[in-house]
Amino acid sequence: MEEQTWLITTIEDLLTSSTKLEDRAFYQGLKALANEQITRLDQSSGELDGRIWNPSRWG
Amino acid sequence: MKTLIIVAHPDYKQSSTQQFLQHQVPQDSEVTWHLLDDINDLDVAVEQQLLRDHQRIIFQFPLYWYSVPVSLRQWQDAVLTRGFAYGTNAVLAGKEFGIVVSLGEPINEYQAGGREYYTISELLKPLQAMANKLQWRYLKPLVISQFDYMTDAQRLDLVVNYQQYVTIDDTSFAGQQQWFIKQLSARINTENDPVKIAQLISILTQIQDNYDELTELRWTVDLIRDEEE
Repeated sequence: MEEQTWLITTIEDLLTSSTKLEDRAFYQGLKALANEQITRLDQSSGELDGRIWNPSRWG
Repeated sequence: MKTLIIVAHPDYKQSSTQQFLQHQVPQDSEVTWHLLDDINDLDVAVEQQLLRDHQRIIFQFPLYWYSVPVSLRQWQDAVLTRGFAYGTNAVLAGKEFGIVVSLGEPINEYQAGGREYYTISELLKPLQAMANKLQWRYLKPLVISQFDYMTDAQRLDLVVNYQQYVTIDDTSFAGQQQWFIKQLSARINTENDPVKIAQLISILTQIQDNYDELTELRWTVDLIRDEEE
């Protein structure tokens, strides 16, 4: 998770240091995309764990 | 993919929405900005050639009396002729058709019980019928509601939504990730500051890693799901 925290912080740094509208728009969109990736990674790995842990198929 | 944005606005220079959007059009040869209200005598042959040369056609306009402005309506009559746009020997089938429509009222009034009562999908039906007749694939419209009241953050979102609307092939999350990856690579190539280049490269690597990991996870989950069902 450390690299994901770093990713968001770095994008935020670029967002706050940018002055041009199209740059700020790009970094704001990129941050939203990165956050969505992190959420989906979390959900998908959770779903994978859940499906692998399937007692009905034991024995 | 080449995109033709056909803009219709009778008071174009005074329209903050249109001015804003024009500045956000990607500066490359793939996107053509075509303002109808600047044209005095419409040259039908030129207009028809523009349609031939582009794969995605976008109508961009403010909603006037639940319809398109008169310049766009006249353009339809003059340019979309039988034998060219539809009917025997028509040459325009298979294109994509998008709509960028701006509203003066809040979007949530466009529903049953709201002040405008009808939904945007209902009001844009004539354009949907046009796309159907021309055998164009109708894309989900981009609706801009009350631009002048938008917050700074909303306008920043609009920039990316608009740029993606006019350039992106695949609107799924995978397509959006690919779009940002491509944009990041372009920024790395044009950036001069070495510190920023290093930051952008690291971001690109992480976004790409996340994309690959997500693709693999989804593939594995789908495989297990298929086996279970």
